[in-house]
Amino acid sequence: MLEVKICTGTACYVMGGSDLFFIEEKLSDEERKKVKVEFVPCLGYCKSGKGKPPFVLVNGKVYEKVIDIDVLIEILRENME
Amino acid sequence: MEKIVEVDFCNVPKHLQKISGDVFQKNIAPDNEGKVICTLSDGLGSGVKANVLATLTTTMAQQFIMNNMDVKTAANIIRSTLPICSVRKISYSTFTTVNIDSGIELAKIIEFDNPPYLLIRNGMIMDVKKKRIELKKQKNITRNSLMYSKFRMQFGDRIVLFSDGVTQSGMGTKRLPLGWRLEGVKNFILKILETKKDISAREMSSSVVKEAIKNDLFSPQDDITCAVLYYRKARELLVITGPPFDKSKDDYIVERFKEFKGKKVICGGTTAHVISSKLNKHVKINISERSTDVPPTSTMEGADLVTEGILTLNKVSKLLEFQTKNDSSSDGATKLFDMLLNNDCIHFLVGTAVNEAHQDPNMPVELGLRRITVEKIVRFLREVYLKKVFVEYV
Repeated sequence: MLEVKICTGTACYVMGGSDLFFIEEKLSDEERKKVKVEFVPCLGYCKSGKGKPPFVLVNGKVYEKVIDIDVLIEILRENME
Repeated sequence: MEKIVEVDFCNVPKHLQKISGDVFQKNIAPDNEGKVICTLSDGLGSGVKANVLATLTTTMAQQFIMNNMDVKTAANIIRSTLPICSVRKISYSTFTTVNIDSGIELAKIIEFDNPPYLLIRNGMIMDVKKKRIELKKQKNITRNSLMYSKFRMQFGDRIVLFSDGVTQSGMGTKRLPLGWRLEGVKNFILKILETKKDISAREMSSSVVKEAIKNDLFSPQDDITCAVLYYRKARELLVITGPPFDKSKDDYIVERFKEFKGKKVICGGTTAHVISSKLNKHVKINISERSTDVPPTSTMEGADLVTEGILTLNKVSKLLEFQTKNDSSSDGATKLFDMLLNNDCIHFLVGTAVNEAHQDPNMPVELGLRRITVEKIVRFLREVYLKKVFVEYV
């Protein structure tokens, strides 16, 4: 099971994070069973120089610049393999 | 206990008109914070012409009463100033002006040809003694008198004003062939009060207007306006936005949050994080809200609302400026807008720490301007919505 945490902070939201709210609708039924998505308050990575927003955590690993849903789907599929 | 007069109104123009011929204005006397003056005027006809007549009337009435002009002189000047309608050859607008001094709990009301106002006390409609004042006779104007009443306000009193678009709504329909009439409006208001004893002026005026629109089968046959003045205990709201400039002040904002007795709003992710971690509370994102322009709200025990910061504040500022909102929208900005309007004394606790992430040149410029946005919101709340606003920067 992939644990996905999507940052809903302001910086992530304006840089494309608003698109990520629809992630579950874009996954197939089978993929959805393998993923647990959680939307979380600001993770603070934008301030700590860990890269550029939007940030997503997948099983504890930080991904930066997840600028739209296609980028996130790609990350999730990579991790599923 | 602080007492205030809540004033609010709701207005819709006649079907197919873009502008209303009913105008409502409210002011607080510059020399006396407890003195509230408001005027509802209905201009002859509808549309732009009616709006001009009504705006002229309300503006003059407000200024005259604010400057303590004698009622009769004020009414005579208003009537002789209004232009003559080229179609009906009459110069005409009706008006009701309410002047309340909450310091001495005295209300003075002038009525010129509008439907009579209602005074509601302890869930009942009171009879008020009114004095007829004869005005100077004018050519083409048949109505030459106005009604004047003066009474002591009691805590919990409501004064309800409405234009004839309310009392005549539904006229000619099968259900209300003679219109809603004054009796219908009275019964409707009393019925609301049976279930919602503490209903705000804002909600009551909006309920009356919605019902009138319904009577007109959702196509208003005239401009419809209802205004309510409600003398009640002030409602207090605390809005904490932004983390303090000096981190050592974190405890101070947490303390203020804990001790505050009214409703509490946290506006900003970092601010919510500071407070929740100090109080050991969990912040949960309300993912069911999917607005395209502001991030979702969150829930935290002890807070009435937790929203994102600057994007939400920017949208609130726009909602306040244009005095309108989309009824179907329920995002954080709309919720905060509602809370600001439903409360009377609003305390802003504004942290001035700079969020480095927002200074990135790739980010929208508005992100770096929290103080300016808050100042704008404060100005609207004070000047347009007559709220008591206190701002503290930390």
